[in-house]
Amino acid sequence: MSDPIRTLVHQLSRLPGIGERTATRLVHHLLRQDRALMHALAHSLVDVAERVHECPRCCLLCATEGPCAVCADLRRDDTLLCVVASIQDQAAIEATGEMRGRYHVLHGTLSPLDGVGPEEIRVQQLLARLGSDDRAVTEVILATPPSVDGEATALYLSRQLAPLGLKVSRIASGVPVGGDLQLADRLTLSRALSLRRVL
Amino acid sequence: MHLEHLSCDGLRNLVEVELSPGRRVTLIVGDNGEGKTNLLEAIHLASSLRPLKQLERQRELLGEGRERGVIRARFEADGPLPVDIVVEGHGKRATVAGKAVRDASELWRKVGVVAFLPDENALVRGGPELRRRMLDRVAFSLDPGFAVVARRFDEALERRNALLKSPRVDVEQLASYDAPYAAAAATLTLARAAAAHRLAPRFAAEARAIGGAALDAALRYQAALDDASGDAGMARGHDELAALALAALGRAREHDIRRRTTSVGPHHDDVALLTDDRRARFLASQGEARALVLALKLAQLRLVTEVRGQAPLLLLDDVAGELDRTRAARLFGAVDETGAQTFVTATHTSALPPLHDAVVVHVRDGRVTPREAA
Repeated sequence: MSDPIRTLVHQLSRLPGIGERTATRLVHHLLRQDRALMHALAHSLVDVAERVHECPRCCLLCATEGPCAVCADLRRDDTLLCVVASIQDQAAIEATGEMRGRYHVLHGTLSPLDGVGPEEIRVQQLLARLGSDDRAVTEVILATPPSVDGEATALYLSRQLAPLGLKVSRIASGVPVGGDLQLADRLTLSRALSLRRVL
Repeated sequence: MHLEHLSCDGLRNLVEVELSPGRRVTLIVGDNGEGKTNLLEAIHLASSLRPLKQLERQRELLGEGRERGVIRARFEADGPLPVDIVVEGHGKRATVAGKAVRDASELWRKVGVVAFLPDENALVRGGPELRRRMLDRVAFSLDPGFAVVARRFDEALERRNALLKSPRVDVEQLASYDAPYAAAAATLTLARAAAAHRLAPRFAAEARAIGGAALDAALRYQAALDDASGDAGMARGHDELAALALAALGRAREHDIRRRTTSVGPHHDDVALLTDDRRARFLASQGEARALVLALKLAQLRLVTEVRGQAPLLLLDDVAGELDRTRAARLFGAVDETGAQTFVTATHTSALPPLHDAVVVHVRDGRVTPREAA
């Protein structure tokens, strides 16, 4: 195996879910294809590396100069801010079409097992924007996942946000819509009961 | 539900094993160290994906110099149910009916197993950890969803302890983990209380049946979240228990920070086994402890059979060495009643009470040779 191939295999196998065998297969697949594919791939990688950055306001990733498309959209509700752990979560919530307000992406949750504390996620950025550009916000929706770390992150944020006097809410969790109660796990059912609401 | 066929190779000392067990009792005969218990291990893994005993390292499951062990089991559970397991040094992979298994509860819903091992007197006379694990297995067998509840609590405890062990404890962060921890602790406590509630009367009845009226035994779940205990865990609702836990965490915070570990929670639960209202742990003789262990196991077998509507597999390792003839007869009587497909190991067939329709196999140096029906 010549050096450039080995280097590429090594680089690819650093990606999550890709071991050395898969990386080797991918490289040999590329070598069998038209070389234009590799050039296009390399160009895309460089383009992403150079142009994609975090939006200075909401921390979403974007390729535009300055704020992202969501932040630049003047029709959005400035009083509502939804805090999510990841870009994928933001995309999922946005896809519902229910959330007409603004977003803030933490890029993670608290995670003591990985040594991730508040300084490692975008908590300071959140507090800073609520104190400056986003003074119009009246409600912050905490949409971190219902995992232990996600719950703790929501509670941590609610404590940090308390002095600002905003309404702070947490997304509900419980039985999935269209789901069968008998099949819901005990934990989900127990939460659904404990977080029940009056009709 | 029953096991129709099992092939196994590379697991501990087992070599190219092909086992076609009896529908009722399979007697596994061989000298000590030949691989009888290892065969039970293969059956236990195939029916629950869990090892017979807690392992220090996965590697212990593999034979010397073996990189992998393979188990292929074919169950009959409302249709053929093939289970394939590959054990490697760092972990195991399993497929049930050709699909990769994500968690063991999927298999438990269809198969299930109860095992009697020698030297389990520690269950009565040892510390609370073994009894907690026993209760958790019962809870899991009543509701495989218990695995999610237990895992959630473990995750919360692990994170809280990680924060307490960090060089400079961030109190704000620690406090943020208190509520999810308290909620997980309350859910686990309630699930354990429910399991104990169902196990307790069966345990008392089995103890009386084994030891006679003189053996007045009781089982009581002692929830660390609720020292008053008894059935109190059942009487309190989830939110009340969680609030209790949260308050206790607050009171223990300074202490926990100093000790760098979480002192409040169901990881300190115990299951008290009582004879004549006194703790058997400190009082029971070896013989009495053995009778209580047997009563616990029979109570589990009956409860699991009742809940599932069919008996789980039953593995009895060297029971003849553990039980006198009367108790062994009592055990096999219960086995007959439940109709559980049973695997019994022994050094000699003569050590056991007569067994109907038993298939006898011989284990020698990790290999299994079929024998005549007894």
